[in-house]
Amino acid sequence: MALDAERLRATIEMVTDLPTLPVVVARITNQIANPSTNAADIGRLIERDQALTSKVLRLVNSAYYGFPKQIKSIQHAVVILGFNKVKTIVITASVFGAFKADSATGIDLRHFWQHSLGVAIASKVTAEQIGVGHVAEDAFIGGLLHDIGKVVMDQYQPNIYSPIVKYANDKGILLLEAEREVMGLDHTTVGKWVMERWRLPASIVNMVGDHHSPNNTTERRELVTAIHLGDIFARALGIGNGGDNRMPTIDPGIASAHNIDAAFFDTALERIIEEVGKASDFFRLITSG
Amino acid sequence: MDTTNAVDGDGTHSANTPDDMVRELTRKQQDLTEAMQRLIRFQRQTLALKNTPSIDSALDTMESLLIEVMDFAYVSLQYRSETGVFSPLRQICPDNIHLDYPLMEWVMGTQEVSVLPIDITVDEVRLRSLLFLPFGTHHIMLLWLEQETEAFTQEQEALLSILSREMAAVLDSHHYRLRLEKTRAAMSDIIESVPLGLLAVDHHDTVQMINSTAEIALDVRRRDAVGNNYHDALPKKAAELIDHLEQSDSAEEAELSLGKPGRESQYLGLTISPMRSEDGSSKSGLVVVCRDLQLSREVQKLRELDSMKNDFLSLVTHELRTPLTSIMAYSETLLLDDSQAVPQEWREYIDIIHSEGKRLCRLIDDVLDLTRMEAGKMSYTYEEQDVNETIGVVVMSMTQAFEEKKVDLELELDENTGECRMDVTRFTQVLTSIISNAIKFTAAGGMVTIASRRTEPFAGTPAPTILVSVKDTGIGLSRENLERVFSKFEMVESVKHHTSGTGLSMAISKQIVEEGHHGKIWLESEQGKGTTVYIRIPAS
Repeated sequence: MALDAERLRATIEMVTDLPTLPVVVARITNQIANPSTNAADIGRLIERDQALTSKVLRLVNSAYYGFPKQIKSIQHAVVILGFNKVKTIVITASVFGAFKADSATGIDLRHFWQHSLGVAIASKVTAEQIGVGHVAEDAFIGGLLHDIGKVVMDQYQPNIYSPIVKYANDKGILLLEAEREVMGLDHTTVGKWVMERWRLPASIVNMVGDHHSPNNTTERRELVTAIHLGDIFARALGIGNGGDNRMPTIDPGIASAHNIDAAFFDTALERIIEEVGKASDFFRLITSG
Repeated sequence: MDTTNAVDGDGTHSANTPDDMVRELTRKQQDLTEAMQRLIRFQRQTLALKNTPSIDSALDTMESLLIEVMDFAYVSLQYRSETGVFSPLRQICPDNIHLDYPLMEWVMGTQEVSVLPIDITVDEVRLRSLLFLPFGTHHIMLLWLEQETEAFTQEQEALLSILSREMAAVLDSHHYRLRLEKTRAAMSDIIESVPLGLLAVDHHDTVQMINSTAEIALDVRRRDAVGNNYHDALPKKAAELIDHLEQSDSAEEAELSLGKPGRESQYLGLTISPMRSEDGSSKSGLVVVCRDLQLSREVQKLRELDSMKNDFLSLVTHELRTPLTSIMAYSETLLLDDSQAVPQEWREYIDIIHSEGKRLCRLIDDVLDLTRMEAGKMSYTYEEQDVNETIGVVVMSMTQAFEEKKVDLELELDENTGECRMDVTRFTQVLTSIISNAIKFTAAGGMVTIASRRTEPFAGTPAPTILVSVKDTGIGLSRENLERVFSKFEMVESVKHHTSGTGLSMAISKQIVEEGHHGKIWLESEQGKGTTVYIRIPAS
């Protein structure tokens, strides 16, 4: 039952009610890509979206960031938090808002988003631990969106995806494996397509696309590695449910390249647990209306 | 950057002609090239940070880099201690400028560059932003800027982040080095102050460390020892001893005598113990400790001699006693004989033999007593006894001596003197020798006064004491002789021929009073006028 990849892409693109992310998201991410962008520019863009503005301000003033003063203006939020954190908030808030709450294929979406957030946090921590802490926010975003393909399939191609989900559960295999068997491609590819459609930055697109096979990517290898490990850590800690409850294996190339040993795991897991504890505020604010 | 030229949501531009697009792209390319050049310049200068020799020059370099990125009015570099207290390290800012500590803490926590909008005017300059640059765990730099917060660009943030990280590394390693240096200096002080020689050798037999005491003991100089094989650096005998001892896996001790022409022989005790690696698994070297044994060796020798002497005396006196017993027994038998078988003149001779025998007996007893007392093997039997009574008994037993010498006796015994804890036999012995000395050295017609009373506590003892004194009007002692009175076998020159004493009686009395009764005995004397002997003992 291997579907033609092109046909699948065409199918997805044809579906007219596939939501785009709010316009402002693409604008902001592109603007942030410009080094001469200043806080005022970004602030003005965010302000065009009421819902986004209030979400950002609520988040910025929450215990999650712990800023000791009240932040009242978006521009101030931008410079205090930094451009990258703002990008994270904008993308995270928008992505969560783009999908329905109910699943059409039986995947528990609430647990799914929990898993995504868990991977986001784990990827950020891992990025810091493998020495690319300066792009940790990107790792966060990548982690959050890494399985977006599954949600897209769930909500916009349920006829194709529903049997695959059942097949995976029956046979006790990863969704990834079931997808490849049935469709000839997997959710990472679907995710990649959707993100391209949403005009998200290439770095994020690649992270999502290659997180199951990190040695294939050329760009920003460390970030992809962070997501790969983040996914494994989040599953190991049992945060949420990614649609299947199987553990993927660590890519052997990664294990040696980054000296991954028991100590690495211990440190990472400890930190992830700490951060997850703090993130419930973040999650709540991001996913509320 | 003018936002009217920003990309719209659907990716198209406002101006659509190909020319416009080409212009747009060219401009973008120029911007990018300029940005690249700035970045390269910045990066090159940042590398310089890593290679600066001192913190001050690193901070200077950083300041000039900062100015490239943005123009600041005031700056303050703050150091945050382990306990969370901030203190300024370097600053160019007004003294009273407000510092928001909770904010500084927050930035230290996130370790990210942050800009805070402010609106203050200092010296007619309107400051609109406060930039926080964290440098690692202990430092944060604050910059007050005229630039408005809104104008803060992403490029500035990126460049400052790079700077922040580089500076953090420089400062943290500097502080680490300082702490290390302090620890090293403290360790070095400790090692130098230890009054033992210390030497450490690694598993390649190279001397790692030697302290000054060891330098002196082994007669080597640090610069000749450290870094060299110990077989070359240390005296041959020492190296050989170390070789021999290190074969064992545990600590070993041995003695070493090092001689050198023109230098006295050094007696050293060497203790070698293996140094273990931190997890205790492998031997990483040796630690050698040198002790100067000279003093202990001498003390040891003296102790041995003293012990030998005491043993010798014991043996000899016992050997002497045996023949003496026969002399005494037979001479006494002859003296007691009524049968007239012994002629009268022989009686005189036998009498002399007997009394000389008695003298010898007394000498042997005294020597034995003293030996036992000094070896600490003297045993005393204590009981509570009235002092005046004891004095009375002694005096009674000596009435004949007083009469023979025609010396008067006076008693000034206070009725409140009371009792003390004493070994009656021994105390009597002391009193007897003192009183008989008094009689001995006093000419006919002279006077011996014996007094007793209870006194105040002395020298830290809380209890009251009893003072007994025996005063005579005899020939007295000169100052030098006074000092020698308690010495063994010293009989003061001028009186030798007067006496038949053993010369040990005062030494024995001193032992009995001081060691046996925790008291004190001393003399006061004036040549030609007389001597007083005082005894002070704790009362009951």
